[in-house]
Parts: sequence; C-alpha cells; structure tokens
Amino acid sequence: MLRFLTTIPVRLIAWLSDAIEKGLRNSLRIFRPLDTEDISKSQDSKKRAKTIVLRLVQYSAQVITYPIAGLFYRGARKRSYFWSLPFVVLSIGTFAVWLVVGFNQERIFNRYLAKVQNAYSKQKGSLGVRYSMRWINDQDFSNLDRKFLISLVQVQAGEEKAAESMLEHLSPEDSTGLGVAHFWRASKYAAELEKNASDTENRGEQLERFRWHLERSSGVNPSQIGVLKALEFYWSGEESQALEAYRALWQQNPSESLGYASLLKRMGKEQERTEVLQTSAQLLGNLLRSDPWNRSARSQLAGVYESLGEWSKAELVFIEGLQISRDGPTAMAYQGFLQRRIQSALAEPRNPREIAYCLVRIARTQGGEKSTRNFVSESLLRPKQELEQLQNALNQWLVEGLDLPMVHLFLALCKVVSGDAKSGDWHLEQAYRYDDSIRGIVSQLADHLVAASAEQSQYHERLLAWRKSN
Amino acid sequence: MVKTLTLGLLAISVAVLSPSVWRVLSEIVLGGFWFEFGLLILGFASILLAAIASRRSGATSSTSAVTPNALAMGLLLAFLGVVWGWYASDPVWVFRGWAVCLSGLICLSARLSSLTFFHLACLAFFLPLSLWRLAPEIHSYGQMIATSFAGAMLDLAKIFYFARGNVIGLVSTDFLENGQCSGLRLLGPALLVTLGYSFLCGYRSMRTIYLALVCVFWVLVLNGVRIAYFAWRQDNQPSPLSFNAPLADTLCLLGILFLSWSANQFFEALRTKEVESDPDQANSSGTATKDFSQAIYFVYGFLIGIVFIGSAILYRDSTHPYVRLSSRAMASALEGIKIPEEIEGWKLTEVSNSKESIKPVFKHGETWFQREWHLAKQSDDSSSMQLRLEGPWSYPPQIDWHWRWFGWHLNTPIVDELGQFSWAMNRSIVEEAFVVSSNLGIASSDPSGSPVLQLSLIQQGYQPYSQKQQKSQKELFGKFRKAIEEQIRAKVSDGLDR
Repeated sequence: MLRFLTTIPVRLIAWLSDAIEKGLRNSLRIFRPLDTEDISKSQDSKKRAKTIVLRLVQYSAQVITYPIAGLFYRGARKRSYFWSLPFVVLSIGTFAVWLVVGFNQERIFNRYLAKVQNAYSKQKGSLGVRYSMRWINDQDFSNLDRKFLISLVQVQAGEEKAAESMLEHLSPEDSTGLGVAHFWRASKYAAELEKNASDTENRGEQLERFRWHLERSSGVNPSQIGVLKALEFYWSGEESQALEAYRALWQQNPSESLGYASLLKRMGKEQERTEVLQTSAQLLGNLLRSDPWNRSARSQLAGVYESLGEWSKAELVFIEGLQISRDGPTAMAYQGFLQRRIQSALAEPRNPREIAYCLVRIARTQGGEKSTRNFVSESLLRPKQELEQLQNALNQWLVEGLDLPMVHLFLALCKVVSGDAKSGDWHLEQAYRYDDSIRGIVSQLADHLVAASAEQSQYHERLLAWRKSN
Repeated sequence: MVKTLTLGLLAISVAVLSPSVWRVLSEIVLGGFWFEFGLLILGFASILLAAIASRRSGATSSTSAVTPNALAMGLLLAFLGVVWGWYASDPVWVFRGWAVCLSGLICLSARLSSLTFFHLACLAFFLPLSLWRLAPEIHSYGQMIATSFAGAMLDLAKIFYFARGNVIGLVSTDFLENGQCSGLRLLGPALLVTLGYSFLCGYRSMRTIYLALVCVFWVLVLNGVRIAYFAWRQDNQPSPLSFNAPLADTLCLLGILFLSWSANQFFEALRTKEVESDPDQANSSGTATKDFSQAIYFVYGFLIGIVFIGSAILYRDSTHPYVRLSSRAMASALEGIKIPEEIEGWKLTEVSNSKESIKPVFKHGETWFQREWHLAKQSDDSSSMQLRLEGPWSYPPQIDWHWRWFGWHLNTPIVDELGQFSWAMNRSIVEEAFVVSSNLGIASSDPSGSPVLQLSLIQQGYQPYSQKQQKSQKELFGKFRKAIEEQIRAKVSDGLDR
C-alpha cells in the first residue's frame, strides 16, 4: 500500500508528460492532411513546407517532454537516455547561468556601482576605477551621472588626465552634456583665458567656447557660475558690469572676496581691493568665531590675510585650525601655506626676517624632508652680506623666544658656512641642550649642504671639514 | 574513358600540388609543430579507417561509385582552396585542395561511395586546423564567448571582475588572466576526434554537423569554466580541488569528449521509433548512379583549373623561394636581439611583466618570443611609448589582432609606402592610442618570403594624438625597425635551412 503511494508522484509526472506529448501530437493533426511519406515525395511545395513545420513541431514536442518521457523509454533507447543526461543537465545549466546573469545584468551592475561609490567615499580611487571598468562600456547603464562618478574616482586614483578626458567626453561641444562637466570645461577655458591674456589670435575662439560651456553649466553652487559670468563680462570689455556682478556675489557670499579682489587688482583699483579684503576678513572672522569647524571659511580667511600680506595672522588662523582638528587635510593646508610664505620671503628683495622664521617653522613641522633641505640650501648658501642679515634675523628671533633649539640650529649652520665653526659648535650644543631629538635633522641638513655647496668651493670646504669633525 | 580521364586529371592535380604539400610538411617539422604533426597523422588515420570501413561495409560495387555531382562539389572546394592559397600565398590552403584531390583519387580508384568521398574530403579539408590564417579570428570570437561565460559564473560567485576585450581581470588583485584567456584550448583535437568518431560510425552529414556543433559548444563552455576556475583561485577563494594547467587541459578534453558523446546519445534517444537498423549509418547504395551528365564537365573544369593554378604556384615558388628556418635557428636569432638603450632622447627600459601580453594558443611553432620596452623621454616625463616585438608567425595574422583581443576599437589601419601599418584606437571612453606596426621578415626583407616577427610602437594616453605626434612616431618606428631588422638578419644568416 505504502509502496504504491511512493510511486504516485512519478506516475503523475509520467501521465502529465504523456498527456502533453499526446496533446501536442493530436493538436498537430491540422497540419497533417496527407501522409507525410507521400508529402515528402510530393512536388507540391506548400505540402512539403507543411511537412517540415510539422516535423519541427514534433521534434520540439519531443525535446520539451524529453526529460520526463525518457524515463519510460525501453531497451537501447533507455540506455541512451541515461547516458544523455549529463549533456542535457549541463546544457540546461549552462543556458540557465547565461539567462540568470543576463536577466540580472542591471542588478549586478548596481552591485559594482555601489562598490565604486564605496571606494570613492573611502578614498580608494584605483579600486573604484577597476570596479567601474565592469560597466563603463555598457551604454544603457553608464549614464552621464555614473560617468561623472568615474571621473571622480579617476582623480582619486591619480589619473587626472583620464578624468579630464572623461569630463571632456561629458561636456561635448556640439550637444548637451552634464552641467557639472560643462562648468568644469568653462572653468578650464577661463583658466586658459587668464593664462594667455596676450594671445589675441586664439582668444576669440576660446571665449566662444567658454561661453558655450558656461551657458550649459549647472549642478554647482550658483555663485560659482556667477563668478564665471562676471569674468565673461570682464573679458568682453564690459568692466562695470563685471564689477557689479562680482560685487553682488561678494555681498551675498564673502568667500568670493579673493576673486573679487583679484579683479579689482587687475583693474588697478588697489584701495578698493584692500577695503574689500579687510571687510571680508572681518566677516569671515565673525563667521569663524560662530562656527570654528568651518574649514572653508578658515581657508578663505587665511587666504584673505595672505592677500593682504599679513602672514602672521594667516598662520594664526591655520594653527587654530590644527588645534581643532589635527587631520591630514589641515596639515596639508598648513604645509601649502608655509611653501607660499617661503616663496614670498625668497622673492626679491629678500626678507631675512621672514626667511629666518620660515626656516625654523618648516624644519619644525616637516623635519629634514626634501622641501626643507632645498629651502635651507637656498637660504644659507648665499653671499656673505645676505648671510649676515640672516644671522641677525635669527638672533632677533632668539631674543623674541621663537623655537630656541631650531633657531640655535640654523645659527650654528650660518656660523659654519660663514667660517666661524667654533661658534657654530656652541650653537649646536645649545640646540641639543634644548632638544636632543633634532640630531637626525642636523645630520640630514648638514649632508645636504655639503652636497649642494659643491660648486661653491669655499663654503664646501668649511662644511666638509665641520661635517668630518662632528 | 571518362573515368580514366578523370583519374588522370586527378593524378596530375595531386602531382602538381605536391610541392606545396612538401612545403607545409617541412614547415611543420622544422617549426616544431609536433602537435599539428600528430593531428595530421590522426587525420590521415581517420581517412584511411573511414575508407576501409566503407569498403568493408560492402559499398564498393560499381553502382555505389562516387558520382560526378559529388566529385564536382568536392573539387569545387579543392579549387577554391587552391585559388585562395595562390592568392594569399598560403600553402596550407593548397594543401587542403591537394588532400581533397587525393581523396577523390582514392574514392574513384577504389570505387568508394559519394558519402565516403564526402567524409574523406571533409577530414582532409579540416586537417591542419591550427595552422589556419583565420585562427586568430576564430579564437578571438570563441574566446569572447568563453570569457563571457566565465564572467557569468564569476558574477554568480560574486567575484568582482572586469573585462579587457577577451581577457578577464580581477578587481581585487588588478590581475589580468592573460594565460588562460590566450585562445580556445583543445578546439583542434576535440573537433578532430569528434569528426573522426562520427565518420567512423558512418553517421549522415546532419548528425556529423550536429556533433561538431555540440563539440564546439562544449569547447567554449569548458574553456569558460577553466578561466573561471583559475580566476577563482587567483582571487584566493577556497578551492577543494587543485589543478595545474596540464591536468586542467586533460580534464577539459575528457569532459568535452564525454559531453559530445553524451550529446550523441541524446540524438540517439530522441529518434521517435526504436529501430533495429540505424538509419544514420552510411549506406548510399542505390543512390549513386552512373550519371555522367553535365556535372562531369564541371569536374574537368575544376581539375584543369587546379592544374593551371598549381603550375602557377610552382612557377612562383621557383622564382621567389620561401625561406624556412629551424626552430633552433629561430630561437637563437631572437634571443640575441639587442635594442639600443637610447634613441633620439628616448630612454628604453625593458618591461619584464607586460600587463597586456599573451602567448597565443594559435602561435606558429614551439618558439614564442615576446619582449616589450618602455620608452620615456628624458626631457619630458609626460611622454612615453611602448615598443613590442613578438612572434614568430609563419603566416602573419591580421596586424591588429593583438589590440582587438584586448578590447580596443580600431580605426582602419593605413599602410604607407614602407609597408608600415598605422592606426588610431580607443577603449573605455577615455583611453586613446596610436600604433605603428610592421611585420619583419626574419630571414629575408620580404615578409611574405619568410617567417615574420611583429614590431609595434605604441603611444597610449587619454587624448587623441595629433598628426605631428603620429608623424614623429612613424619616423621613430622606422629607426627601430631598421636597427632590429639588421640584427636579426645577421644572427640568422648562419642558421638558415633553405
């Protein structure tokens, strides 16, 4: 009894399979007005065509019912059926894999897209680029916004040229593209127009292209587009409109002060420029006092002070920022600031007090790195008169109590270069007395000075002798 | 009289085409194509076995002799092969034409049936499959399908990958599966064994075609499985089984043959009636008639055409002899190539592991040489190029096959008066490149008269290259070409086996 029950599912499937096969065969009677053998020999093309269709349908029916119907084959046919199962199962499996993946293509691509977004948020640009390569060529999936994401991860991966090329692709010059990309392209043309102010030959064409992209710019802060529009007025010769547009922008947003000041400078309105910068410093200072974590305002304020030539105030703003958050971007911003201050100090006429200050600060913040070493050789391997001025400035800083070990260190180096090795040793001793951890920096700077002074034989001999004795 | 005349013409055709056959055979031996040689023997063995099986089945009476229609069809194939071989200077195609003529000669003299002639001609025509000039094209399309199947499996396994044309790369390791994606493995042997099996069993043409298609299908699928397996391993995923490449090859071949045989069982089981006699077994008695109708004139026409073109080939080969090199001479010539360390401000550094380079499955011989140099301009860090040298090819494939393999979209190559090809190409929206490439004859200045190496100079970046940049690249390429050509000739001159 129970055994009979266990066979019921199989029997049901067999009946069903038989029913399908019989049903299909019976339904095909409409195709069979004549005996197929006769038809195949017949010359009537219509009848022959019918026979072919009939046979095809019969074969199709057999193939469809094969997996179940085969269980009821007999003899050699049954043996063939069982041996054919690997082929049938694996063929179905193969097509199933293709179908499953084909129907879920968008879902799979979304998985990759999420990975790209994740890589971008974690600053893993090169990984993001590799994830994006899976769908970059899929025209349906890879829309403008997603391509823009690719350009962002390319920037992160250090592939700036690829990113530029992608943004160019997104901002075509003959059709609609992505607003952000058009804005980027307009900014690029703006930079070229600024750079090649004297190139009148290509200026007209560049200006046209700039306008084309500017008209299609979107997806960014309207004030950013406003800046470019103001510049467009300026380059078109409509100075009053440019000033008006910029002033309106500046009044809405004091962070536009630097651009506005730059425009005023170009127009020769120096006094107005200073007023704008001072007002902006006041406004940004207020903003920063109410929101000390506002990085953008901090950077803007430091920039305003830099433009006014008030380096100490600018540095104070950066140092306050470092006290609030000691992270990579803040440290990088401060390093950038120091580099600009150094460049300003080294510009003719040189400012020994500023040079002395920058030497101390860069050695303290960046140790004996390449940028420090280059700056030290550029500052110390100078004519005697400049060296003396630098020593005086360092002595002054010593009196004012700036970072004593570092000031002693640079005084020591100045003394050695100027031929007073004994005083140099004394200053070095003082430096070590205050801070013994600077020995590594001393060694790096001394070695660099020896190498850099190779063409200045007098300095080279002094430095070499001192290096050997220490 | 008709039969004697046909036999005579067939014999003359076979004789006239024999030098090309000798040329192919000597190339196979000198180039170290031992695998192809094995295939050849296997193919001839199948032909002989098919002929013997056909004779023993009793289909040898005068009524079952090969018909003029069948002979005309076969000889049309032979004629086309010979014409193409003459036009493309490819003796492999002449070899095929010769093999079909030989099959005709055997069938006609031994009174074998039309079906046997068809089987013999097919086997003969497909013999040296891997020597085809079309091989890169066939492998390229096949690899594309296999790679996409491998990708589908990796998608199901949630392994992240990307595709560079026919090659799969892993996101996690930034690794390109160049080794596994270098062409369809086992296509030749699997197809030959399957066809041989089908002919030996005497199956009809439809069933033979079905089996061949099924065999190709499983070659594609199992190549895809193989790629997915090695990518899985490369991704450091746990694997219960560990296969090296030779074991994987063996398993794949067994798998393909088993599944093709299983597909044959499917065909067997699908037949609606359970019959005692096999309708698929070859027995064409009664179908052949002594129909010496108009078809015989076509037979004569094709045979005379073959003799004529064969004579033209003979004449051409006597005036422009083809230089053959032993694989040892080839290897020694290629190993010693030295590239100057600096040319016109470009500093050259050899690249040990080039990312986009493959050792193709369809290479022409056991020697495969591939070197790449990175060129950087000392005065300008942003400019760089790659110089690639690879080969040898007995008959060069399409000059741009390598870049199409790695998914580049190419503009039509332009050839200049020096025989240098150049083209621009792009990929993945932003990648742009310009290539200058040329085939260098290893033993003679004429690339059609000796094995060749392909030399290419590639400039790759993210912006299209200007006419000026392209021109300077072509000039630089000319200098490299000259320097390398001179070196190879000097090295090869002693090792020639003419």
